[in-house]
Amino acid sequence: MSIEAINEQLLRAIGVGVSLLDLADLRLRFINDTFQEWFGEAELGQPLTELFPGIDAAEVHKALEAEGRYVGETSFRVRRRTLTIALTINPALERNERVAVLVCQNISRIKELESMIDSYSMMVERNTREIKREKEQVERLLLNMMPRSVYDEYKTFGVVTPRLYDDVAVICLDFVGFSQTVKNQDASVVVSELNDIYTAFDRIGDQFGCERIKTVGDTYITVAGMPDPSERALQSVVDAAIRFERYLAQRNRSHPIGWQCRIGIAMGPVIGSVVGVQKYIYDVFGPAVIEANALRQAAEPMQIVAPAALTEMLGEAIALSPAGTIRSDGGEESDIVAIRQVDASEQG
Amino acid sequence: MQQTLFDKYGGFSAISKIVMDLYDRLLDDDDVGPFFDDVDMARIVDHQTKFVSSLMDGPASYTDNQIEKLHAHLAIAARHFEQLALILRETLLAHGISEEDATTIVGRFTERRNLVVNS
Repeated sequence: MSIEAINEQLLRAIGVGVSLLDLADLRLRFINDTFQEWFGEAELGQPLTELFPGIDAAEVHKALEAEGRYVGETSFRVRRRTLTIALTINPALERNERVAVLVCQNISRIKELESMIDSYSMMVERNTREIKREKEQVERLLLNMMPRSVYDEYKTFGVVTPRLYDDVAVICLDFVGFSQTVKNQDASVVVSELNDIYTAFDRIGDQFGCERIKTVGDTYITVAGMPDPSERALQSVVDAAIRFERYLAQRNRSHPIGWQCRIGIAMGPVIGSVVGVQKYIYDVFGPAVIEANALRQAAEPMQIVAPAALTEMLGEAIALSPAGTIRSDGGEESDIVAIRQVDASEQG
Repeated sequence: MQQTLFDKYGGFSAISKIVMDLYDRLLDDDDVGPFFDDVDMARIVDHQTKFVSSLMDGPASYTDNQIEKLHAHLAIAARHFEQLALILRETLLAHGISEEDATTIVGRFTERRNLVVNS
């Protein structure tokens, strides 16, 4: 067998569709078996543009002149399958005749895989967006439960080291006659009222640099001076407490259910920590919280009380009046004062 | 967290082979294939990718309502459904999915029979 004959055999048997074209009019001069298999209706002498209507002869000539080759793609259906063929035309010389070699490669599987990757990446992207959204919701929830710096520690290390904070100012507030209100009113009304009031307290507290720690039924505890220390911690809680009371007084004038609060204010050390493993909560406890709670119990309706020992630290805009004494766990009696804001008429 | 079948069998790189094989088998099948006669290749591949992913707890999921709507315009008979279940099972086994897991996956598919068989 001659070299030429072997070449032709090879050309015929190769898994790539090959055709020789007349360069002048792009008619088929030779097609191999694969080409015939893919394009059953192809005949020698047929113009390429007739076989592939998507190909423009002028564009092929232009590309061959400018870049020395033409690259294109064509898709068609064979039964229910889409075949995509990549076409490359390179000019050649055969016995001084100007011909071009058309090489066709079946890239259907590549196209199918591309479609699958597109589909998969869109699924993954959507999932990633959902996970991000859920993560943000969890973060918001956790930030409602603990200060950001504590949350950051929890996120980084998975645990929060209990920490002692000095000079933390604490507000402990509850409502007079709450049990009776719960009995007399529909549960959903009580929850809605508390939600409304606590939301307002949170907003007021936030304005004065307080961090709400928790609510237990009608008891509301907020602090200032932690996790970051503040020289104005006591002033912050006093300012907030006065606004809490003022807000309630105003609210009571326009709402059917009247709420009378009692507020205890104290200052001292507290421990802040995440408590619990699965049902965890950020909590503060310690002397200042215990004292604020005791002072709350000693307060009259719509009264704010604080230890008399803190008097010096309070500004002049605050009016203080003796409010009796409380007895500590150790049995010691100490004076307490009632706090209210000085009216404009009292000043100067 | 329990490992999903999707992860157990090697994630997307392994599952993609199942998807492509299932695609070939479905198109070559004379019972089920005609449903894809006039459907664009990208849509068929997208459908198969999501189909296999959702059955194997991958990053896709369909509600019953979505499945019902997607198939409402197709005249799917019980024999088509059975044939697809058979092809799915053969494809899974051909790619090293264990008998037990293949039964689970095909079971998830056949659970939804009433959502798609409508003629």
